[in-house]
Formats: sequence, structure tokens, C-alpha cells
Amino acid sequence: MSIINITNLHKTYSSGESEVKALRGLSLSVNKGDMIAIMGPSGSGKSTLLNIIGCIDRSTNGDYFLYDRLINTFNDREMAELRNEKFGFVVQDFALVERYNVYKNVMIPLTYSKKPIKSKKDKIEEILSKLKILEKKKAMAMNLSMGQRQRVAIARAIVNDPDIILADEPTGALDSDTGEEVMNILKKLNEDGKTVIIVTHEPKVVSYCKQVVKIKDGKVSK
Amino acid sequence: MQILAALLLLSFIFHIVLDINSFKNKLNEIIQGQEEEIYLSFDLTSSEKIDEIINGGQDSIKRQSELFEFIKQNPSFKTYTADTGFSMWLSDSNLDSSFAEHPQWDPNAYFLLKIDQNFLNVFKLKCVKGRIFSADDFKDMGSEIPILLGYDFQRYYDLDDTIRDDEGHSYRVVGFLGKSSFYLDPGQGDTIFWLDKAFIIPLQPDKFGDDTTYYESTINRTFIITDDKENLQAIQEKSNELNLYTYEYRSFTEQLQDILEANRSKIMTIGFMMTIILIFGIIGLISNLIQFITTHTKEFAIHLLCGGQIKSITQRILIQTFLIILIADIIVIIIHKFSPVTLLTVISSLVIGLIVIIYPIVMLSKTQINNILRRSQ
Repeated sequence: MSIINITNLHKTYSSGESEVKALRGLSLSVNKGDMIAIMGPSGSGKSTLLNIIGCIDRSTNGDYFLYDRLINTFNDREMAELRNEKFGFVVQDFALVERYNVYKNVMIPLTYSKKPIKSKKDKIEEILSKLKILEKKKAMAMNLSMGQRQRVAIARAIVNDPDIILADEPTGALDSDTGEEVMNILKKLNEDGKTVIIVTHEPKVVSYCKQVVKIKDGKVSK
Repeated sequence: MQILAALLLLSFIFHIVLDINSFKNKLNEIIQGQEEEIYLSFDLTSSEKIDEIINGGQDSIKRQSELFEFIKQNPSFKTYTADTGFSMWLSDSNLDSSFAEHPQWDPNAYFLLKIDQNFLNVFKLKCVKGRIFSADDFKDMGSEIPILLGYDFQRYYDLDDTIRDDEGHSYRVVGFLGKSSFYLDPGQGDTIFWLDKAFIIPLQPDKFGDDTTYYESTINRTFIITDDKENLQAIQEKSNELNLYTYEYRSFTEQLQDILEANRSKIMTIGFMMTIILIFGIIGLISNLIQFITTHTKEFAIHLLCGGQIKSITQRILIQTFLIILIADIIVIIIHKFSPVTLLTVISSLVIGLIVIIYPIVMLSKTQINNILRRSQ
């Protein structure tokens, strides 16, 4: 079942008088339960695509359907709700608030969530336990190792139970062992039913994915 | 701190402006209520001379009495007297401390106003209970002195009650004044003397006896109603002839102009200080907000990523700004209580708050989430 349908997507960034065409008529379909690696050289439009899929950015042209709903027409509030309910984000620099502790970092999506959750505390502890960092829940983000940070980022990505995990170079800042651990976690999440889309240029990461989409010059090349 | 200081100064400006406007309106009412100009006297007599007059014994009393009669019985002009030179001393009253003139150092001294009959015509005092003074009340009948009480005394006294002061005088309550009754003496600045907590007794010169201070105080607080400045000259000449006081007479209109001018300068000075502090305060606050936004960019980006909206960040900045203003407003309310001054200051503070947040909010609202994310990485 296709949950993401993108047709003829264009994205142009304007900076003063110059224009950068990041996406040039890209089309893509993602099924529920997929684990896709998006690959391509720097500047090919990988991250732009991920941002548009994740409702962080808007396309300049083309259609983006998520669960058969045309996202192009969504307002800022609806986009924010989608980011909160449907997506979990894992990024290269972990995107943790350094002055928050682990618990508070993981709490962020639940602050905006409208989903009925009995106990936010229990939910956070369950996720942290699953990712083996429960004992660090009171530690400040700035005092964690790289691997622990990425686990916290993953915990935050899944705490609101989203359908789709978007990962932008999730192992980019990690050593190979820790990168492997993180990929195993993502793999496990996919096996549990989550759709995982990973932007990467590492062949090792690609090996965990069921499907590879290569992007060149703002289009799917294969 | 700067915003608090600016708001406090602003509240003082509002206070001065509202007070002076109220004073000006009331004084104009009094001035326009008379067909002729009202003059007050400034006593320029040297202190040595005053000592000499006060300690001058019977001769001094005779001379002062003659001057007093000359002023009060003169057919060429009218006068009224409002003497606040004495207090009512009551040691065994059960009045609460708000009635005392100076609760800290004289808890038993209360505001006392001695008036003559014409005062009632000028200030048009009315009673809510009982009666105003009659002509007979201004004569020494040898019995209890009639007394009018301010509106607030109704909780403590009834009509015909007898009040005994610490000097052994007895007063009989004949009436209670209407709420917010007042009198003005522009010679004592821009204060409105509210009479709700005042004792008012009739001026009875027959009772002055051998006390020279009664004459001095009464003559000083006698106001001359005339359009002919020669009458004022005549009073001074009479005083010179009797080797008594040296006066400078000023009309209420002139005095009001001086008071307005003095207040204008005061407002200009405070206003200048306030403007400088306010400019620095606003610039400081805007810089702080911009710095706050800049240093928290990554945090904002993460919140946006997890489902937050620019709106929620804006709310956070609004709360942060208005919390500072709220604290300043609370301090203003503590100082000025709930009054028109407080209301104006709070409205002004909200305007200041809006000025402060406009730029940071516009800056934030123009920022796209992906730009913030890119910048934070």
C-alpha cells in the first residue's frame, strides 16, 4: 500500500537574484513498511526531498500525497500536526537540546501531541528502556557519548509512535560500531512496522535497506 | 530594570498631570465662582520681627486685633478665612490611624480647619446629615463649639455627639459634610485638601484671648476678594502703621500659573529622564529578545521538527516580554494602588511591550522552518 506519492516535484531556492533548482520534476512512491535508502552526490536534492516529505519544507511545484491527502494545500498548523503525528526525525547532528536532560528531550514531541497517551512518563521510560538508555534519563544531553545521543534522538523520533521515520545521515557522526548499532535499531523499527526513509551516501547503511533510490540533479536517476 | 524605572517615572508623570489637572479644574471653579479676583498673602516678615510680635504681650495683641478687624470688617472688599495652622488633639478617640494627620509621629493629631462664614459661600460646602454653620456659630456663645465633621466620621460619631479635645474644649457635632468635599489653598502648593477626614470649626475671634499665635495664623490664612489692588496696598500700609507683618499678595490666577509652570518643568525633567531610560530599556529588551532568538535557534528548530509551530515560539517570546512588563506593572500598582494613574501606566506598558516585540516577531515570522534548521546545523 502506497503511503507517499510524489509526482513531478520541483523545488527552487531563491537567494537574491540567483536561483538554485534543488528538485527538478522528481517522482517517488513509498509503500507502508518500506525501508528506503536515498542516495546521491552532494547537492543532488536528497535532504530537500526528505524535508518536503517530512513537511518541513514545501515544494515549488508538483504534487505530494501522504495517505492520499494532497499536502501542498496544507497550512502551517496542519504541517506541524503531521510532523508531530506521522513522522519521526533522526538527523546527523542528533538535534538534541543540549541544556535539556534526556527525559526532557524525548518529551518534546509529546508536548505537542494530541494522541491520547495514558502516562507520558511511562511511555518515555518504556522507549528509553527499549533503547537501553533508561539509566541516562536524567543526564544532560551535552554529557552523553555520540552513540547515546543518537539513541536519544531515535527515542524522541519514535516516542509519539509515528508511522514514518525520516533519517538524514543517521550514522554520519558515529564510528562504525555505533553506526551499526543505530542501523540495527532502525532495522528493528522497520521490522516492527515502521516505514523508514534514510538519506545516506554510505554503502554500509544501504545494505540494511530493502530499496535504494538514487537521485541526481534533482531527479530520481534509477 | 530599565523598563521598570521608565514605567515608574511614567506613572509619576501621569500622577502629576492628573493631579494638577484636577487641582486646576477645581481652582478654576472657585475663581470663576467669584465676581472678583481672590488674593492670598505670603508672609515676608523676618523671623526676628515675628518673634517680637508673638512675644509682644498685650500691645501686640491689640495691634494684631486692629489689623484683623481692618481686614475682616473692611467694606471695600470681601474676605474668607481658612486656617489649617492648628490640629485637633484627641488622645482618647477610637478613630483609626488613617484619620491622623501624621500617623507615624503624631497619632493623636487630626486635621483641623477653622473657617469663617464666607468660606462656606466660596467653597459651597454641603452636609449629608445635619446642618452647615449658621451666623450664630461664629460667635462665642460660651458653650460647646459647633463642629462639622468630614464624611468618613459617620462611622464614629452621631449628630449632637460631644467631642472633647486634649485642651479641654468641647465640640458639638452639628453636621457631616458631603463625600469628597474639599478646599484649596494655592499658597500651599497644588494639594487638594479633601475634607472627608477633617474636623471643621467656626472661627471665633472672641476666643483668641491673649494668644498672639491665633491672630498671626488667622491673618495669614485670610484671603482677600477684590479687583482693586489698592485694597491690598491699604492692608499693607495698615500693617506697616501697626508695625506688624510684611505681605506679598498674589492672585489665585497668578499663583495657579506659577504652579502650572513649576509642574511643567517637573514633568519636562522627569519626562526627559524617562525618555532616555525608556529608549535604552526598549533597545536593551529588543536586543535581549534578538539574542534570545539567536541563541535558542537550534532549540526552536528542534521544537518545530517535533510538531511545534512558529506561533508557539512567538507565544513564548510574548510571555517572556510581558512577564517583565507585568512585574513592572505590579510594582506600579503597589505604589499607586488601582487608580487612573495605574490604568494609564498599564496601557502605556502594553504599548511599550508591543513596540518591543514587533521586530523580533516579524523576524521570526519571516523565518522558514527549513532555514532555521539549516542555520542551526
